[in-house]
Amino acid sequence: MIKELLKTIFLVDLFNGARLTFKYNWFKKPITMHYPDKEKWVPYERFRGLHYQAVDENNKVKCVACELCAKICPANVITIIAKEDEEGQRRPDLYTMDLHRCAYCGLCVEVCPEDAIMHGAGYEFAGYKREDAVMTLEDLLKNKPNETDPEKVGTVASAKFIRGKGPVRVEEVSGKRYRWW
Amino acid sequence: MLEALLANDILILVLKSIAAVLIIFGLPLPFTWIERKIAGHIQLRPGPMRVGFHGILQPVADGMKLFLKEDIIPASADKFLFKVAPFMALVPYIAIFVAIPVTDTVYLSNMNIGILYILAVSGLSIYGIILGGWASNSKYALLGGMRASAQMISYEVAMGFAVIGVIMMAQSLNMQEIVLAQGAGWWNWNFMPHKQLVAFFIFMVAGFAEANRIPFDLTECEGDLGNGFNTEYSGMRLAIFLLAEYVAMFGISAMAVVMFAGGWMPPFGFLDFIPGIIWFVLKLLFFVYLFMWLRFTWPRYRYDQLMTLGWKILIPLGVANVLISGFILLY
Repeated sequence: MIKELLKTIFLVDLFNGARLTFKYNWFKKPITMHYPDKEKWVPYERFRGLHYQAVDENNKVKCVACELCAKICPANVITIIAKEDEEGQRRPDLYTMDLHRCAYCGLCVEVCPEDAIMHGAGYEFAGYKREDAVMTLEDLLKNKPNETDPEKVGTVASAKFIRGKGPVRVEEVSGKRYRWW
Repeated sequence: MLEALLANDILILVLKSIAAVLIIFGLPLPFTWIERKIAGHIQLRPGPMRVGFHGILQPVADGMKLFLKEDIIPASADKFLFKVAPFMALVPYIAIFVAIPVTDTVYLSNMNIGILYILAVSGLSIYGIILGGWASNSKYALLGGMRASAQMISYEVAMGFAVIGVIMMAQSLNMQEIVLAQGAGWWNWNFMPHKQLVAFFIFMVAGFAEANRIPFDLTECEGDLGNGFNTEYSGMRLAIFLLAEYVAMFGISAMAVVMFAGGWMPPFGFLDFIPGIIWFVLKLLFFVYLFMWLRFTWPRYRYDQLMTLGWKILIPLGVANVLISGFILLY
């Protein structure tokens, strides 16, 4: 009782707090990730990030432009115009995803009979123009699939922020890699 | 002609004043960066890192942003007072530095009633905050201004009692003589228990309240008042309010250095070969760091707690301190 009273009078709690923050200020290193300048998070295998178009072993687009993904999409993200390629196959002529509206629900990935549209590892959605968020077929082919190496997933990798006019890009570079926890 | 001008004390005084104002205006730029860095490191994050080396150009970018923004004046505001209020908040705290002796040779004015002048002038800055809140014609801004006035009245009294203790120790109202009465050696300074520890405590608490810093920044309490008295301000006028907060912080720190930490005196007698201005700046930096450090440590007081602390604890404590010091000095 008297001890509590003395603690209140001499502001012991306030001074303890001040001591702790003083220690943090001078003797502890920041625990945050240096994203986007120096480090980048490598997501897990099942991460549902920026979509990509899968290709077959001949480096050809797998998509057959069946438009199932466009039909199931609750937000009308996907627009497809089909064409016939030189082998007589049905292929997408135009395949755009307006990611402003995408909720990353994954219905397009689940419905795809060819496993052509897949969720990838990308999570840099920022850009300087509205067009930066509209993905064409070429952009979707460039997007990267998720990392599968168990040594790499869920780690913080060294990265580099690439300056330019297009959408914001942070690319992994070789260097230090450590587990977040 | 030139010699006649240089011989004229007024010219030298004007030049000194211009230099002082430039220094005081320039200081908040690096210190906003330092404050944000301290905030970051206390919260175990790096703070500003992207503009320049370790974000050192961040305040320049922020300043440019604020200066280029539109200066919005609400349609129903009192236009004249709204425009004038930021300057009314800023100017009194710049005027404080007239009476602060940096060393026994570097000062603007060595007035006999320096301490009274400082207390009187620093109290004026509250008009800027009250009028800023009043002229905005917004209920949150008005509440912020009202809180500021109530807070200032209660803590000005406590600060006055703390200062009386210092005056009793020095037997003078002159700031220079207050420093000289403390002398060299940290054990002689007024913050020591055998001198005026209680007054120092009261002065620092009241100083935090006067400078409107956490834990007493009830005037700009984001949680319940939007942003308090400066809710309606934007662009350059907001920048001047922020500048005023920093200058107030420097003013209170400088007062604390002069009255409680020995001014330009070295902490040990044999260190007096180092010029006094360096000791003054080091002590000032310590107090400014104290302001920033405690800002990111402690939560904000509730409004009734603030009033309770001011009227029921600090003022009786101040009166008791004055009585006991007087008794001890008499016998």
